[in-house]
Amino acid sequence: MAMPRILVAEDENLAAMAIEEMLIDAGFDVLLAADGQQALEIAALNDFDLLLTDLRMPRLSGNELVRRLREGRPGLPVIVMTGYAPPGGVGALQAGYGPMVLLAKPLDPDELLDNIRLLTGKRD
Amino acid sequence: MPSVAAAIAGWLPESWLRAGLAAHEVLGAAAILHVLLAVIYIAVALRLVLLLAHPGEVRSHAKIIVLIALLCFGSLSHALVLITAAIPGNGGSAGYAVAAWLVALAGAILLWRLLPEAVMLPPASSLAREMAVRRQAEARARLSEAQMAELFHHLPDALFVIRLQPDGSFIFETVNAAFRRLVGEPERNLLGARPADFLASGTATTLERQFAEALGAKRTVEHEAAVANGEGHRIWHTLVVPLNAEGTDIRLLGSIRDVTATRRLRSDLQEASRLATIGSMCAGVAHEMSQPINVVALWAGRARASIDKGSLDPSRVSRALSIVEEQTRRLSTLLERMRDLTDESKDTGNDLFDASEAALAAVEVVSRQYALKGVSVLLAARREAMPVRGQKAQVEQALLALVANAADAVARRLEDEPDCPARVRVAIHADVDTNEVVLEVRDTGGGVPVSLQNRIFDPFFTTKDPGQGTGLGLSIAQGVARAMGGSLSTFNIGQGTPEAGAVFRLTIPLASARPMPARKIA
Repeated sequence: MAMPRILVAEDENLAAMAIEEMLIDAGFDVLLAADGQQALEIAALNDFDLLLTDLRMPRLSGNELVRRLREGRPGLPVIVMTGYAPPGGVGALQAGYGPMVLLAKPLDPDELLDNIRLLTGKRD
Repeated sequence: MPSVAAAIAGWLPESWLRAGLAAHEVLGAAAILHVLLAVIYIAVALRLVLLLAHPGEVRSHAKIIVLIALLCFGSLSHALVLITAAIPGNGGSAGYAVAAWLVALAGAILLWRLLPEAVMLPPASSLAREMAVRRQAEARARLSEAQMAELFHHLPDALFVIRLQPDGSFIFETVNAAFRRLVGEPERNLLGARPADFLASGTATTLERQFAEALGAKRTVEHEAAVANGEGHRIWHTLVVPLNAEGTDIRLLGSIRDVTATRRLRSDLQEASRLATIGSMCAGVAHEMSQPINVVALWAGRARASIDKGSLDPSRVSRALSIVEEQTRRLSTLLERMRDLTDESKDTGNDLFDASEAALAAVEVVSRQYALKGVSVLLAARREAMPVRGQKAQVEQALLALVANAADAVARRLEDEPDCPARVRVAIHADVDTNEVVLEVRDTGGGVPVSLQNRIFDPFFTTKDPGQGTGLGLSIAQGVARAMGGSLSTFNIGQGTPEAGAVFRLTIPLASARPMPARKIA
């Protein structure tokens, strides 16, 4: 079985690096994007199994990114990481029917990994 | 001459000539006195004519008739002297002649003195008119006085008149209805009473001190003080005016307004505003801190995972820990800035420096940086010294924050309108009228939306993307301005034109009107 591939959209470089390292250690393949716009561009050229995204990002927000990706893939699993819970909770972000998890920053690395494993069906 | 006299003698009846000769014999040397009296009467008559001819005066015809009669009487008594002297047999009664002469003289003098006043006296009809006018004026004065009294008694402010007693104490002489309500006493308990008779001793002492102050300074004295009465603590705004600080009859007019409700409302508003600021600040702090804390949490997790696996890679753990350290420093800096913000009264220093130099330094630092982003930053400074007191670095910091704010606004507008003007203009001048230095940062960034104008100085308020701004710049700039006794304000300019933008206006009081000493040239 090929390694599940995660698209990570996070504008804070140091956070993105830690997440990348952690996911690689845990046996995932990682695509990194510095903002929503770049994530869209990467998504157009690559296959991936899950979107892990920040909400507030320059150029294109996480909100908008989820909406656009779910237009083409309504079942895409999404994990949103944010310091601010969006008004209306997950429901406000939901588009399509795929699973969506909201994780609050600061992130708990174990909780993040557990959720990613759950949504990608990957076992240790 | 003798021929002229002979002609006159020939022309006059013979009896007149005889009488004249007889008079000459009787009076002899006194003839000169007759001439004098005649001259006086001619002068009186002339004066009467002149006064009557004077235009524009109201005259009493009755008075004029009396005056003419008096004139005639005077002349008559003079004639009498001559006649009595001329009547044969009376020639010896010189005493009688002298008496008549004296009466005529007295009459002439009296007439001379009375003439102007008598002639100018208004006639009876105008006297009546004057009386009517005077009565109307008195009625008006009485009405006005009554109105003033009504006003005094019905004004919502508590009013009173107090009199200084010979022993230095004060007694209430008049009080209005509002005053009676304020102190809750009937008038009979107040008139003639001293403040301490019906007010709490602390309140009475405060009032008496204010009375003495107003009398001593001979001017209006205003105070606002908390007083204790039956209803608990109230805040009274009192105003005392000396009515006549000199002399023996010394009085003061005073007013008291209970401003407790107003003050409470104001403090409630301040509290509400403070809470809103705290709310806005907390949201900003949460956002600013969540990023570094998130990075710390992630890298601490990496370090632990590395250790847990047993395959301890010192270089990886070390890297994770240095990132953690770096992020804690970032958090410390943030805390430091927050501390700066809360402590506006922090030692502002008392250095004398030139504000235009600070502006020049600040603009030099950033102009190149913003030029790379396509925003030109220009400085327009008059070549004059602008001495201010404070810390130069703080003014630079405030100005840098304003320029950064302006340049960011322009940069953001450039994203949507690549052809819009992209300028930040920093202008500085000394306003001698208001005695302050005015620093204006004008941008072409479109202006501050009206809905945000009340909030942009709130700490941590920002409209910028994450990581682009802390929301502290304007707040810190305002803190610097206030700490130096100045202010920071903003307004939009050029709305509806391509040049549309905002102006941030920072003022700092000039340290002195005199120019600074010339700087040494290296």
